[in-house]
Amino acid sequence: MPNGGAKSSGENLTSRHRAFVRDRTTFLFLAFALAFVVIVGQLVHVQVIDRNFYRAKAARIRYGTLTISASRGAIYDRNGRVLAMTIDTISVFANTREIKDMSGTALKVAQALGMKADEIEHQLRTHDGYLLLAKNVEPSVGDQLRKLRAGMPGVGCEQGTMRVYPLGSLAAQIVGFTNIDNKGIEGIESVFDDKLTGKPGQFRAELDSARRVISWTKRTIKDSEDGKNVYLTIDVTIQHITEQALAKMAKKYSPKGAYAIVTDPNTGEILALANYPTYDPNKPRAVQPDLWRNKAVSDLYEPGSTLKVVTIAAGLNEGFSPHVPMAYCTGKEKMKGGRIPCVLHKPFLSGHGRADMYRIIEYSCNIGAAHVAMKLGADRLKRYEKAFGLMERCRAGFGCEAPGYPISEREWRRPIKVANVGFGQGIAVTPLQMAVVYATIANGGVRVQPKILHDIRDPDGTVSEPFKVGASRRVISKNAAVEMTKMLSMCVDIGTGKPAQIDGRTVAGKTGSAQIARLDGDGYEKEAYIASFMGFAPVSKPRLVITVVVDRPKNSHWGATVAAPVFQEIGEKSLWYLKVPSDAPMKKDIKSKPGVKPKTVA
Amino acid sequence: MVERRLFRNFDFTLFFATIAIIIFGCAMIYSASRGGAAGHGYLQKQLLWAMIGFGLAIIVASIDHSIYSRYAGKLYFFACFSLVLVLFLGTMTKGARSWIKVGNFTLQPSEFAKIALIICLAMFLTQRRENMRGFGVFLSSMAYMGLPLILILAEPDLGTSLALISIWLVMVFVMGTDIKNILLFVLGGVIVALLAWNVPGLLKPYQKNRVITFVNPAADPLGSGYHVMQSRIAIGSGKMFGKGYLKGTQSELDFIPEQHTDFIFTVVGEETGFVGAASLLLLYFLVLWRAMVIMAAAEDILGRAIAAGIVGLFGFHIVQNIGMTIGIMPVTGVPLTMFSYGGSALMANLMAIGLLEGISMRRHKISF
Repeated sequence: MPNGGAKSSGENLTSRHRAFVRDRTTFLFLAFALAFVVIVGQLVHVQVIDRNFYRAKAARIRYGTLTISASRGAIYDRNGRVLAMTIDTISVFANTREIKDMSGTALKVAQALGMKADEIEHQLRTHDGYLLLAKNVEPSVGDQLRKLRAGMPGVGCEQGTMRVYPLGSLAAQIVGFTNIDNKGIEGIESVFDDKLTGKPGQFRAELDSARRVISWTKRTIKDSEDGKNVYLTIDVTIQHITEQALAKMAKKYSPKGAYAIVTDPNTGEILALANYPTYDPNKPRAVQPDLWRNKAVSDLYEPGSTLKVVTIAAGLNEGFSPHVPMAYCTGKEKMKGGRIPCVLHKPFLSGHGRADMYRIIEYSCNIGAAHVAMKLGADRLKRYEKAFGLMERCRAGFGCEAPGYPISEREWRRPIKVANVGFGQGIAVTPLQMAVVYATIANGGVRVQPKILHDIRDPDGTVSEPFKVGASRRVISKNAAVEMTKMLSMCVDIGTGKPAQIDGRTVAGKTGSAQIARLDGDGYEKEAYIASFMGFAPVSKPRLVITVVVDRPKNSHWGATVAAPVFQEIGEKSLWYLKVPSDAPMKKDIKSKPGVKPKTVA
Repeated sequence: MVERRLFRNFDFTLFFATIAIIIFGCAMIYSASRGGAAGHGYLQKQLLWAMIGFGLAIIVASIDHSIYSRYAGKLYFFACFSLVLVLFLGTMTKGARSWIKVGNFTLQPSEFAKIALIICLAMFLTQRRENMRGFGVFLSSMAYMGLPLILILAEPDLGTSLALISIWLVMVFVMGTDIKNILLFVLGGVIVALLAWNVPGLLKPYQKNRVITFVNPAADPLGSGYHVMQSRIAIGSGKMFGKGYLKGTQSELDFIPEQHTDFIFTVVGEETGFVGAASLLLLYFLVLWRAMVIMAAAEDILGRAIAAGIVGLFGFHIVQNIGMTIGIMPVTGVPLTMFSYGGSALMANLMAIGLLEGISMRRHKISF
């Protein structure tokens, strides 16, 4: 017998003890048997009863649909110059847990990214896990990193895209920008988002737990459709001229805001639309969101004298004689419900006197305009305000246009209200609505719907939505428009609009220096004005309608002083750029300009 | 060393069930790991461990267990010493210090400690068999197991700690402690659990989450409920006959973590279906049944105590592991006996099988 072991085996087991052991063993056996029964029961539940539920769930987890993102379309100006485009980028990540050689890795990454090695090393050492080293850098950086990658675990690249606005702040409020998910949230990016976005494709395949495609499984692919390209009516050059002119004025008068619009009166196309101040849509979060708004189309202001053209044009269209005095202006006039002030200049320091329609426009006589309005009466005046489009959205395609200012029927019944509206008070408009009013005069009395969208093209260049001139309607007769134009050109030639004169061009236009209504509706702000000038050139065959509105300029508040020079600069440069032939004698001697050699005139 | 007549009582059912489980396990490990970075490495290593394990089992079986009991004191000291050692020299893996690196391999001392402690406790209880019913022996044996338990808990390895409790409970139960003692222990456990849950800082948030997840896995399907939901989905998608060997996708495509170790039962459920899973359960039931038969039939008290400890060990691992993958037990990382990948556990479990066979063969020792 091997190994004694008698110590514990010498026990004499009684039958009572055997029974005890049997009981306890039986109990133990039953306990484990019960546990096994429960396990088998649960297996039956999961694998037999609920099997289809779990199999479906498994399939749902395993089969993944990946989205193939569609490339977002670009935004161009009318001549195909890029305003917004999407570029491929690389983002560089690091997983600090996989990096073996911190300083070596930092050095290589720094070389590729053009950053400082010690900064990257600091980042790597102070982070645990995933770390974004560089977002949206040039794809060539990725190629460089891939070359270095072999000996550098823990650094990876991810492809992405980025929306860029190569012209920076130019036309920022028109173009808008996209959010991080490539969705347009402001401006044209937002309005035409569904056209620009395109249709994402689908890639259905079996995925593993890390959502990686399993290479040997079946897959289906539906190609993505790239977004369409949007062509705007604006001309980048004219836009630039316009923004520069506003900036130049702003340097001198530091206004709260300023807006300028250049349109083609024949087609309604908006060639330029500038907001001051502006921002860089590449970094929209660097400024207050207030700057994103296209206030030239979305914000209302009291137009003041520039609105007199609506009153006078209505009078002309209703057959009032332009040379019959409408009122005798003594500088102020009391009437039921208030009083009408007239702003007086030389040579009319004691009132504009016998004010006919010409004088009303030339020297901006409020009392005269008020009398024309009252002669027309509320109904007719309202009809013309509506016809010129002041009570509706322009629907030019900006997506955020203000609908105009509602005046209740009760208000219209008050004579003082009619008188005030006659010279541009107690009514509010957008700069774009005013631009359309002047374009209507320039276009011989026919209002053409303004447009910002030129056309939409497929990625291959085919025009899918060609340019269509917007809806047009006659507002005043041709004769009334011609007469109105004459008055406006007189205003520039001899009246308040003199600073808008462009050498070698005939110009028609009107000044405006309006008080600013308080937001609480109780009177007007003190020492706060909106200076404006609107007009067109050349007079005989208008090519450009230019609207300049300056909000709260400092040092001067006169439309003639602040806004007219802006009009003049935009007009002069843009007409030259558009190669519009000169239609008036040059007043300035070319020799007087320094640095320019005299030319022999043929 | 082993007399031929001893083979009359060699338990062939236990032997063949063990071999079947190991072969089944190796097949599943291959299926679960072939796509991974280590490729066929896991299968080859597991086969190697199995060979060594069988060698160890033969050695263990051929030595009379009463000889081990002579060294119970030294064995106990060595087991505790290795558990202290691992706390200082162990390699940190997944938040626990349970492994010691030996050359190219890592050993898990707690796996071997479990077997050693079964022998030690068996000796401890055998020596006090006269007072076995009493509360004193119940308490002192609890303290005896408590020391290594705390060391293992410090790694931290909750699963192995619970295995020690299971071993101890089954052993004192079979050895004849009063049922009242066990009921008292259960009551105390409930109180401690309630305290631990409500006293802040005693349980780590992830441990609490596991309990919450166990009650309602859908509460956090991507976080702590992920294991539970994913493994249930894998097993459920196997249906009656499974997707076929090597055709599982849920468990193999890394949806389930630890699929070649703690969650290997998901591969069984997915690839071999209910039929395969039930067959594996049947094999385990055979092992447990034979272990209990050996326990009951042993005529020496020491052998019976050792067999009881092994029943407690196997029973806990099997019920806890499979229960966890099918969602009837909370998630606690214990390997599936002789099935999960892992050398230390496999070798230790094969040594336990060797012990059982040794006890079986020497059941009638008294008649010699």
